[in-house]
Formats: sequence, C-alpha cells, structure tokens
Amino acid sequence: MKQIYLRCLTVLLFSLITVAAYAQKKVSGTVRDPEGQPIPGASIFEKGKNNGTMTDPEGRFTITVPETATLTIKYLGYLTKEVGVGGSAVLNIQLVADEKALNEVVVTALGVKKEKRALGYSSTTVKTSTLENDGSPLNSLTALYGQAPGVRISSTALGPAGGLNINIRNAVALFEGSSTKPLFVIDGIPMLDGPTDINRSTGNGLNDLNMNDIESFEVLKGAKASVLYGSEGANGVILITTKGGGKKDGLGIDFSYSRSFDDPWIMQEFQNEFGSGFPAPWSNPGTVDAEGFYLRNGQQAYYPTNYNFGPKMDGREILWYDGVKRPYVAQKDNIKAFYQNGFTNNVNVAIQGGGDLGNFRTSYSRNDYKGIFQGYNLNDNKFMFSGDIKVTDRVKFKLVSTYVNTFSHNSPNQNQDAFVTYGIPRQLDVERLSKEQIVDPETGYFWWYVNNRQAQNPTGGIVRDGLAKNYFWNQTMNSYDNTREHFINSATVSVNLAKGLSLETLGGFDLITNHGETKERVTRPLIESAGGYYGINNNKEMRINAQSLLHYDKQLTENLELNAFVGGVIQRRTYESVGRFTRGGFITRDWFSLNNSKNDEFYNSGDRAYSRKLSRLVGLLGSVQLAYKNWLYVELQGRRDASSILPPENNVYFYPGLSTSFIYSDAFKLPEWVSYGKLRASWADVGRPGPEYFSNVIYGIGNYGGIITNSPPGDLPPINLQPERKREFEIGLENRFLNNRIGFEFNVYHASTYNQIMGLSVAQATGVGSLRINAGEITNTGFELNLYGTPIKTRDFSWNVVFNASQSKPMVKKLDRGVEEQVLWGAQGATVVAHINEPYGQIKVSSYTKDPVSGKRVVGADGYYSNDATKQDVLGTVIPTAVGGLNNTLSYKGISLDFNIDYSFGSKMVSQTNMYMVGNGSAKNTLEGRDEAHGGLPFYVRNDGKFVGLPSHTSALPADSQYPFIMHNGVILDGVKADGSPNDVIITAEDKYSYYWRSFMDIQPDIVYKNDYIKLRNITVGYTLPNKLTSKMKIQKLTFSVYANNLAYLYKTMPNVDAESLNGTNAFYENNAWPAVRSFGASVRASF
Amino acid sequence: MIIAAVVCSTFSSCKKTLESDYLNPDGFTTPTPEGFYTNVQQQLGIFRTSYGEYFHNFEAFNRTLGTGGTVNDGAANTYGWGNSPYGDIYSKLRSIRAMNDAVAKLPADQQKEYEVFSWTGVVIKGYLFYQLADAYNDVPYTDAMKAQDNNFFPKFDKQQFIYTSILADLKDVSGKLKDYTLGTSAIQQLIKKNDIWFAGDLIKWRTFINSLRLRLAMRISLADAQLAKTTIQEVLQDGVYAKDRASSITLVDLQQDRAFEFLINRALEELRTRGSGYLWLPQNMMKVLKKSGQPDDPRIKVLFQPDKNGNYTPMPAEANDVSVIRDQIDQTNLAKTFPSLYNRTTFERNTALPTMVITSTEVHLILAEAGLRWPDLGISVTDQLKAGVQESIDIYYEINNKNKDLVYTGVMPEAAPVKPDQATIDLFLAAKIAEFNVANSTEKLGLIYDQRYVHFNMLKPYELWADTRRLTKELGSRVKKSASNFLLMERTVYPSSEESNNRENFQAVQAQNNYTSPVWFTGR
Repeated sequence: MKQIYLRCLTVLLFSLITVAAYAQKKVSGTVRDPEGQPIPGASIFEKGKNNGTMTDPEGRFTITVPETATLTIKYLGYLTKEVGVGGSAVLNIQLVADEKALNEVVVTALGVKKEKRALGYSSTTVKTSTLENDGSPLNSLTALYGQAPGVRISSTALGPAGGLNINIRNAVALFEGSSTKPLFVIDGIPMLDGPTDINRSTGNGLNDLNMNDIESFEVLKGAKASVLYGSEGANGVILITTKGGGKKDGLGIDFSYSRSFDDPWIMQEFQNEFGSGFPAPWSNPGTVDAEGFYLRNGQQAYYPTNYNFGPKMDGREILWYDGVKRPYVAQKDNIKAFYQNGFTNNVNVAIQGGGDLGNFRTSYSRNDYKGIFQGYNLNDNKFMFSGDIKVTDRVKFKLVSTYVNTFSHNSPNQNQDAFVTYGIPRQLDVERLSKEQIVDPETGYFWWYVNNRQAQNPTGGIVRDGLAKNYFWNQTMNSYDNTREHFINSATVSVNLAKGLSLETLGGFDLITNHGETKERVTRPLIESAGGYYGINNNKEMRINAQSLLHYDKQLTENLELNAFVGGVIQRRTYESVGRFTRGGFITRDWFSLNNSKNDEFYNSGDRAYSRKLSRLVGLLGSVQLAYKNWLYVELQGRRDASSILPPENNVYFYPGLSTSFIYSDAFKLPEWVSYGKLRASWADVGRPGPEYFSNVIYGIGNYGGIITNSPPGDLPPINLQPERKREFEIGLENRFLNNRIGFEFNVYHASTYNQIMGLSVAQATGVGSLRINAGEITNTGFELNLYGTPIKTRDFSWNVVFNASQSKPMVKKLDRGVEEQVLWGAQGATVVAHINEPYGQIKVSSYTKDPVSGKRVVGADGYYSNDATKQDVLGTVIPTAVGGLNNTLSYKGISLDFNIDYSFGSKMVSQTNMYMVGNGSAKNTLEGRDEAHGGLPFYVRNDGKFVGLPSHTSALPADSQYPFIMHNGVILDGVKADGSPNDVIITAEDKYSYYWRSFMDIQPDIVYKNDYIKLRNITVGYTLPNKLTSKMKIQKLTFSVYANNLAYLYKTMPNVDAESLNGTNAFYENNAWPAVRSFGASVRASF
Repeated sequence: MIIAAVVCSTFSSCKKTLESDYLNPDGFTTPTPEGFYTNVQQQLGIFRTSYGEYFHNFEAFNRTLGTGGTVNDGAANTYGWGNSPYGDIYSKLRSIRAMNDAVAKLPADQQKEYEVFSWTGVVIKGYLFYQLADAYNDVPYTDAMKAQDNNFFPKFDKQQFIYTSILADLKDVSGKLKDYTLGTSAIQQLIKKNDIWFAGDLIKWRTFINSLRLRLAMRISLADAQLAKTTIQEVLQDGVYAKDRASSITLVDLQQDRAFEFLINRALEELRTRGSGYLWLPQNMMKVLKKSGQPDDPRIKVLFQPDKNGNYTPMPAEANDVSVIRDQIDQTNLAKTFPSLYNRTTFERNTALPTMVITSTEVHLILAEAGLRWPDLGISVTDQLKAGVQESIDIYYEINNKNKDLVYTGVMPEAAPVKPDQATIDLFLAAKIAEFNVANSTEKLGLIYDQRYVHFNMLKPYELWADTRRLTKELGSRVKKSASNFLLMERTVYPSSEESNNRENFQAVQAQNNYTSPVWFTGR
C-alpha cells in the first residue's frame, strides 16, 4: 500500500525527491521545545550542503554527516540553531522560541494544520478563551459578532433561540434556493445547516453547538482558502475545533453555571391619546356621534376595530365590547402585556485528562430557556466526548462524539395581522383579555366561541381571532413541540508511514432528527363545527463524510521545503421527512391521537406528507506547497468533484487555486520596530452544483376518478445545466510592530460569481414562473481590516483592543435571455432586485408623483399624494456595505472588563411595522392634525360629500352639512396641485396617515429606512480569585462574572423596531414587530 | 500509475452511482398528452369547486354583492380579495400547453388522432381566459404561455380583443365538432376515459360551447352589441345549448369523500364559523324571495334554513339594524340559529352538491334579456323567464334532496323540505310573470337581474359580479344588493411580480391597475 501511495505521489508531484547521501558518520538525537516536549517535523541540515532530514513524531532524527559538519536545526516559531557534530553520536537539541516570530499554527481546509505565515490567503482565528466570561450564549455563534472582519452576523426577530444569518464577504445569490451561508465544519465534519424563518422556528443544527466545548473558530473567507472544499466552499468556510483533552493540574474538572434574565426590549413608540375607531367622515352619518364615538344601542361604545383613529381617550365611561361600562383610557403598556420576562440557565461540567497513551475530555451541558413569548420555552442537553489514543508508535486514533437533544415548546408564529398590520387598540386591556377572555371557565372552550360571544361582543376580528385565539390561546392551550436530536461524530486514524510520509483518514457524520408534534385543542363544541388537530412530523437529515489525505513533507534542500498532500473525499447527504395528521377535526374532544381523526387520512402529494433527497459527491484533491527559506511560500491546489446533482454529462468539474506568501520582514533586514511583515496573494476558481434535483425535468402525477393525470413543472426546465462558479483574487498585507504590540491585517479582494444556477423569474403570463438556467454574474470588490494592539501593558494592567472593519458592494453584471432585472423579493409594490450594472439588492418603490418644476409632491383633486407607477425610486440596497466591530479587554490583576461593539452601515430595510404603525394610527407620530389641539383644521362634509373648510372651530353648522356636526381633523398635505399651484384640498388627518390603505398597503418610499447601527453587544466584568486563595479551596481557578448581552444601541437609524428584526435568515425585510431580547446575567466558572 | 488506475476504476463505478442518483426518485418522467388533458379538467376551480377560491370569494363577494348576510359593524370593506386569479389561471393553462407540446412531438398521423383533445383544449382555454379578462380587463392573451418559445415579455391584449378571439374560437370548435365522429383507434377512444367532464360526448361539448357563447355574448351586450346579437342568433340557429335540466352543464365531483378538504364544503364550513359569518340569510335576497302580494318563492326553504323560531329571518343589511338584533344573534346550536343561515343541507353538508357550470336557468335568463334587448330575435321573454325560474326551483330542490348526510347532528329536518306540488309552483310563477309584465323596460332588466341574484347566490360569484358590473350602467343602484357601507370592486389588481418582470408591456395597463376602473365589457 505504501508503495502505491509512493508511486502515486511520484506521478502527481513530479519526482521532487532527491536525497544526497554520503556515508560518513551516523548521528542521531532528539529535538525538543523549551518545555522538553519533542518537536516533530523540525528540519536538520548539514550546513552548506544539500543533506538533510526531519524529525519524526517523537522529535527523533538520524543523519549521516562528516565529523566536521555543522548541523542547522530549524523549526518555525523557534530560533534557528547551529550545532557542531564533533565526536558526538547522539545530539539532544533544545530550541528556543522566537518571540519576534509569534508563529501561529492554524487549521486550514480539510483540517490540515499550517503555520499562519505560510498562508497565501486570509484566515481569521477566533479563540473562545477570550470570550468565555460572556456567559454561555444560547447560540454559540453569537460570539462571532464583530470578531472577524468580513463576517456579517445578524439575528432574526426570534432572538437567541432562532437562527442566525452569517455571511462572509457579502456573499449573495440571484436565487433564493442558493445558500449564501458559509460551510460550517466541526472537527472535519461538514455540518448540516439550513435557512430558518420566524414561524415556530426551532432553530437549526448550528443552535446545538456548545460554546463551552469550542476551542476556536477559523474563518476561511476567500475562494482560495476554501478551494479544497470545492463544491461547498464558495461562500467561505467556518472551521470549528472543539476542545481536546490533556493533562491538567488538579482534578481536571471544569464547571460553570450561568443564568441570565431576558427582557422584552420594545422599541415601538405609541401614541396614547386616541383609541380605536374611525373619524366621522369614514362612517355613514349616524354611526358615529359628534364626539367621534361609535354608538351601540344608543350608547357611546367601544369601536370594534383596531385602527386607532377613534375619539380621544378622556376617561369617560363607555360601553365595552362585553357589555360592561368601563373608563375609556389608554393602556400604555398593553403591548408589553403580550410578553413575559424570560431567562436562560446554563450548567456545564467537563472533565479531562491525559497521559503518554492519550488524552480525553468529556462534557455535559444543560440549557433551560424561557422565551419572552407566552408559553415559549426550550431546553437542551449536550454531551460530548473527545479522545485520542496512541495505538502504536506510528498510529494514532481520535474520536470526537457529540450528542445534543433539544426540546422546543411553542416557539411563536409571526401573527402579522394582529401584531403589525391592523394594530392593537390603544385602549385594549391586554391583561384582562389574557386572563379573562381566552378560556371559558365553565366549558374550557375558547371564551369567544361560547354563548355567542363572538357575535354579541363587537370587538373586531383581530382582537378576537388574531390576539385572543392565534396568540394567547395557541401559545398557552396548544402545543407546538419539537424534539431535535443531533449527533456529530468523527473518527480519525493517523498513520506515520515513513519519514515525512503520513496518512490521515477521517470518517464521520452529522445526523439530525426532528420530531414535531402539534396538538390543537377543540375551541368550541364539535357539534358546531369541526375542531381539534393532531399532527406529527418526523424528519431525518444526515451527512456522511469520509476523507483520506496522504501527506508528504520533505526538506528538499537547506532552503527549500516541500509540503504536499493528495487525497479523496466521499460525501453522501440524505433527507427524509414523513408527516401524519388528523383531517377534518377530531371525533372526540382533545384526545391527541391520529386515531381521533374525523376523516380518514389520505396520502397528500404536498411536501408535508413525505419527501426525500439524496446526493453524493466524490472528490479528488491535491496540494503542493514549496517554502523557500521559510519566507517565501507558493501553494498550488486543485480539486476535481463529481456530483450526483448535475446532469451526467456535466457532473465532473475541476477547480484550481494558487497562492503565495512572502514574509518580507524575514527576507529583508527591516528596522527593529517592524516585528513582522507579510504580503500575500491568492487566486482560485471554485464551483458548485446547485440544489438537489434542480435540473431534473419531472412531472406531477395524480389520479382523479381512476384516471391518471400528469402536470407539467411550473418553471421552464434547463438544458445542459453546468456547475456555477466563483472566481476570486485576493491580496493581503499583514504587519506587526513594536515587538508585536500592535499590528494589522489588510485584505483586498475581487470576486466574480458567474454561471449561477438559478430560477430566473419571468412574467406569470409566460406560463412559467421562472427559467431554470445558468445565468448571471455578480462581482464583489472589497477590503477587510483587522487592527489590533495592546495600548497599555503594565505588570498589573493591560488593555487589548481589536478593531475589525470591512467594506464591499456586490454588483450585478449579467442576467440572461433579455431579462435585465431579477426580483429577489417583492411585496405590496416594493421589490428588492438584482438589476444589471447596479448594486445587488436594490430596493425599488414607485415614486411619488412630483411636479417637474418645483420638485414638490403633486396632490390630486382628492387631496392625496399619488404614486407615479412609471417611475421607481431606488432607495438603497439591503446589503450593508460596511460591517465590523471593536472589542476591548481590560485587565487589572484578577479583574477583567470586556466590552464588544459591532456596527453595520450602508443597508436599508423595508419596515412594514413602521408603515402599519402609521397606517393604523398607533404610532406616536400620528397625532398631528387629529383634533383642534393638535392643529387640525375645521371643516364640514357637504351633502355631495365634499370637504369644505370653515373659518373657525366654533363655526356654525352649515345647512348643507351631511353630518349634524362639523369636523376638527382637517389637514392639507404639503404639495402642489397638478397645475403647480399650492394644494388647498382638505382631507382628514386620519386619511393622511392611513394612505397605505388607499393604495392597498403599497409600500411607499418613506417607509424604507436606513438601517445603520452601532451596538454595544455585550459587557462583561469578571473577577478571578487569586491563586493563593483558590488553592486553599482546592480549586485551580475560580472566576465570577456578570454580563449583559444585546445591551444598547449607541447609534441606530431604524425607528420603532430592532435593526436585527429580520423575518428570517434569508429575509430582507421585517414585518413582525417583535421586541428584541436584552439579557443580564451572572456566571461562575471553576476549575478543580 | 497504479493509483491512477485504481482511481480511474473507482471513479467510473462511482460515476454510475452518481448518475443513478441524479433523478429524484419521486419525480415522474413519462407523461402522456391525455394525462395532461385530464389534469387540465380536474384542476380545482374550473369545473370542480375550490375550497381556497371560495374561502376568499365569500369574504370578498358575499358582502359586496349582498349574497351573504354578515354581522355588519358599519366599517367599510377594503377591496382586498385574497384570491388572485391571475397566476392561478395561467398555471391552469400550463397543462394545455404541455399537452399540445407533447402531441407536437408525435408522428403526424398520431397528431391527427389527438385533434379532439386539442380542439376541446381551445375551449377550456377560452373558458379560463374570459374569467381572467373579467377580473383584470386587459391581460396577455396572444403572447401568453410562450416561455417555451422564448417569449418572456408578453404584451397585454385588450379585453375586447380577448372576447372577440374567444368567441371566434368557440364558434370554430363548435363547427368542427358538429360534423365530427370519434374514430375507433385507441387514441381516439382515449377521450371517452380521459374527458372527465363529458366522457367524449361531443353533443355535450357542443352544448357547453354554445351555452358559453351565449354567456359571453350577453356579457358584451353593452360594449359590442352587434357581436353579441349575432352570436346569440347563431347559437339559436344551431339549437344545441343548455335548455333544460338534462342539457344543463353540471358536474358532480368524483372525490366527494374529500369534499371537506378540497371543495366548496370546507369553505362554507370555515366561513360560517367566523364571527362575521358571511353566510347568514341576506336581507336583500329575502326581499326578492318574499314579496308582499306574491306567494313566497319556493326556493327560500332550500336556499336557507329556518331560525330557532322556525322562521326565515334575514340578517339585516345595514349596521344600525344589525346593532338592534346583535344580542339575539345566536349560532350555538346550528339547528336553531338566529337569524337564518344558508341551508346547510343543500350546501355545506352536501358533498353531492354539483358544480352548476352553465345551467338552463342561466341560459333562459340570458335569452330573456336578449329578447328584451333585441325583439327582432323573436324570443318570448316571459317564457324564458318562467322556464328559468321553474328550472332554478327544480335544480335547488334536486340538489337539496341529494344530501344523504343524515347522521350529522347539526342537520335539521326542516332544511330538507318536500318540494311543493306543481300547482303551488305555478301560482308563484304566474305572480312573477304578472309582476314582470307590468314593469317598465328598465325594471324588467332589474327583475331578470334579481333572478340571477337568487339563482347564482353565493355559489357563482364571478357571473353575478360580472352581471352586476355590466348592468350598473343601465340600472345603477338597482343592482346594489349590499349594505350601503360596502363598496363594489370593479376589477382586481395585477400581481406585483407582473409589473417587475414585464415592466415595458405593463406600462400599457398600469393606469387601470386599481380596483375602481370599470372593465371594457361594462360599457362604462
């Protein structure tokens, strides 16, 4: 076998092996580091000759040299040492660390460890040890906020229990089926990850990572960094390395406990002066009295609508919807009453140890989370084992195994109608609703459906169905449960075949199973209508990965070193989902069983019932790196993939990558204050096959009355689909100064994603919704800066600071078939588009009609602004152009203070919450003009319906008035009439605010908001007890900390909603009005 | 070299596995033209009733056409219509295109054998397109469904052009079928099985086509009177159209066991349980059914069910009147509601409820109106009116009688009444004709409209909506059966994706892209 591999290398790596040998004197020995640990892979050379060798994994070497020879011993990160052989037959050499070099070993693609100086591309390491006092965030990846330049993170509105949107270098796609997320690889195993939304989302596999088990994140950004991941590396890769075992002082037990209190952080600003209702001119005369009150049975009554355009809340007693008289006052905190205070509780314990034979670490972690939404809670258990064992001198085995189970109960659904679109009456006593009007105490049915309350209590459908039923009843009486089990396992066998030749084989899988169970109670007697629902949904997703790499490392000459490997990768990915549910309601009340289905269960051709997917990928890869004097590195890599996803004629594809790293601070003599300087460049062209079955031409099949039916696909199938490609060129500069006290890393890159596999949207009238093709090109040029330093460092005090910045703007260069614009998202007249030769993700909305001369808005004869459908305003893009963070650590003796700030600039967001808050009269800024006190103009409604201005609010009622009173809520919109003269047409203030309803909720230019922010992400204060104290307690280390997460916006442009309130990981907009979650907590960490 | 050989052999065996995994195992790849044909016909919302469509239709139309009583709280309705026929109809047409493409790939002799499929496909296309044009006015027609021909930017055709084209197509196919006999070849015989509407009965097809021509002709009676009149004349000459129960085009669903999943029954059940309901006996319909000095309309008892007092009490139309009875509104016990509901035995609980595609009543009412508009056609208006009402009574009693759901506890015996004897019906009919005869010519149109209002009720909102919009020109508020605070939608808006994906052509129609511009056929 060894021979085969050797031959193979010979073929693939051009016979680079030449070893000179002169039979003179055999010298052997060991090379060790200052701690006495052996150094494998150190090079030993006869000075001035082409004769050399390398140390084995035990640090041992043997070389034959003349007695007069001098040996040169080199290993990165250590000062080069020269030793005269003389008469010695055994040489034990200890190297001294090179403080100036500060060499880091980083994990690169496929788990290959390399010195960072050798990398010709950008890679950022985030060590969790610097973040460990921040509590144990429910989602470990939140730790990456602001930590790596070019990495953009945004949470969804669901907060910490929901999915996270992670994006590297503004990766974008023209097709929603394409993922823009990076590939996550944990201990060599590619992780399962998918998009999440905010409708009863239970998160995805990434939510199962345990921050306490993670050693580091390695962010591989460009195409070259991830070229060996080929098909999946186009969006960058985040490598996660878990903590391994090792001998520790003491018992080797680590324990931590943290608890945080999670508060709903409501950012909406409401008006508290006017309650629900309509202004008089919106209702027929007689419906509303002169004071604007709705009349029910002749009494002033609760207006059964959600629009807050009713009369002023002056505390008078009115007839409530349930027939009781109550004061008509604002419930200022009624939105808060929908939510509750939550918490996150985490316990973590780990034990580790090690010895000559091997090491291990095992841990258990438990999270209990109570969400801010009624009834929402979650808990998980996370187990992990990591162990390695030396099987023989040449063979090592490593096993990493994790198991996580997560139970989620009643993650909320969006409920847009109730929470956003139609508003909530400002006088609605939500607490009363939730306590008294959800469950009928006698029958246990939905309160409103008992005793005809729904017809007899005029409250409006939104309060009854939207809030009472779809929120309170569903969240507290029904169950929407999901249990996720997640296994990630990897086993690695490393074999040292010969000097410089080793084989590493890894196999493993990521497996997620979900068991969903829905139990909906009967809301009214079954005799009245069907009711009750029980459903289960099981799915299983698995990704198996096996790879084998044969490494060959050889010191070719004194100055030239070869590091090469070839290998293969096999992957198999499967998904299967099966659902079963009752149909037509229950037979008997609230027995949650499929046997309680009123109608027989039918096979459903939709996705809910059954779906499956399978894809395979086989890859061959090779990498050759040559190092000259350890200051010039050239690396050539290539991978050839064959994927089952693409049509057989195109399913094999190759992608190459090339990079170079030049450590000019070693090549040239530079001033002493320059500690390190490196210039690097890389290029790669990667490819990927798109989603499974995307290019299949398949038809629907059905049966109606015994006759077979066939239906065509809803889009135009592709012909000859090719893999999509991404090509990226990157150069970077890395410098450190003043003995490494300060430094920076700067990258500039240009990427082009072309031949994208996509569904190109076309008009529905073409008969198809989209064309499945290779089309489009997006280019992206950007830079990244990582600036770090230690401004202050004394014996007791130090201040470390890291600043990350990045900027880029993806541009659309091509589409196809004459289509110039691809709609990425669209709703109510607004679109987010990719338009040729424009930045990706532009938001377009119909312009207001404007006067060409004055530029003012034109007001129609009806007194309203209108939109000019022929013109569209381009209002910015959804992609931020600049993101980054500022991270500080201040330490004084045992006390540390960390605070992290991150920012995002340059994007805009469509905020329908803002639009509807104005449109339904809930927002604080909708008061002007509503009555005399708020500057409203006096007018009356003439018999012909026309609004006619009056000189004063005390004017007498004209005889031709349609209503028996005059109005006080007139406004005149700022603008000009069609002829250019100033507008003088009176409308009501309520019409001014609710103009969205006039255009059927079309999004207007003024509700697309700039979404810039600077956020104080977290503050942590930690105190580590002095050693002399803890040692008496038999504790190795004891740290207490208090922290606050998602703390405050230092700057924010988005009104009323959180800047991170997106509707999902693949969404560009928000329309949820959910509060953000702010948490305050404390933790204790102890090592025994 | 050895490893290269190993790699190569591994790769070639891998390649086979990869190729076998390429296709979705749940993906079907061998469709047939007749499979597409049956698929076109069985799609919900053409002949089969569609739960989703009706759910939204009740909300949008029951209030604004006054066909369903609601707990009116005085607020004006918005024009929103949850259903969007646009994408829906183009996607229904997709199977016709697929069928034609599949046929075109066959040898010429086989193509000829499929011609009945193609001709009747043209009829189905017309049947869908007129509905699309009714809802939007101008829509892509000539350029539509041409993605396969690389036409991705279809222009919008005028409603007039679309109507004219459909009428020409229908005439053409009607003529072709008149002299056609099905052959005995396997392909030609396929239509007997795959035509789930008419089982390959070409007379039925011609009845449907000609009746449809009458419907469309009357629709354009104000906008293109000449074409309307000529078309009616041609159909009358041909003589094949829905003229009695036997020739009425109705379809009983073959999947009645799934009615509460897919069909109108589910929509009726779900809409009824809403607070505002939409399915109470509407006051304005009761005014037509029960007129002082006339016998009660026999249809009252099959269209509606008695309330808890045994009366047929309507839900008041206006909010103020609703307010007065609000405390008495009661549907705790469905056999004893207050006010009355639509008859649950006839409709909601009746899985055998046929789709009344084109009934003889509708045709009689069209002919009655045609007789009024063009006396030279020689149509007896009163005979047509009388036959229309008689056959409407007949079919609703027949449908009511079809419901065999006697186990459902909410059903009340009074909701399955015995049909009155013919003498009683004749008395009623005589009163209707007497009322008609004394009315002036405008009111005569109004009385015909009233019969459509009752006959179509909430079951056929599209036809009633079209007639209401059309007759508004001549009859004004005479055809407003809704409460005063409910607004009538003139058309619906195009999906926004059409605007962004077909911007240049869209410019031609964007001025009318609102809910308030009357469509061409209204003549307004």
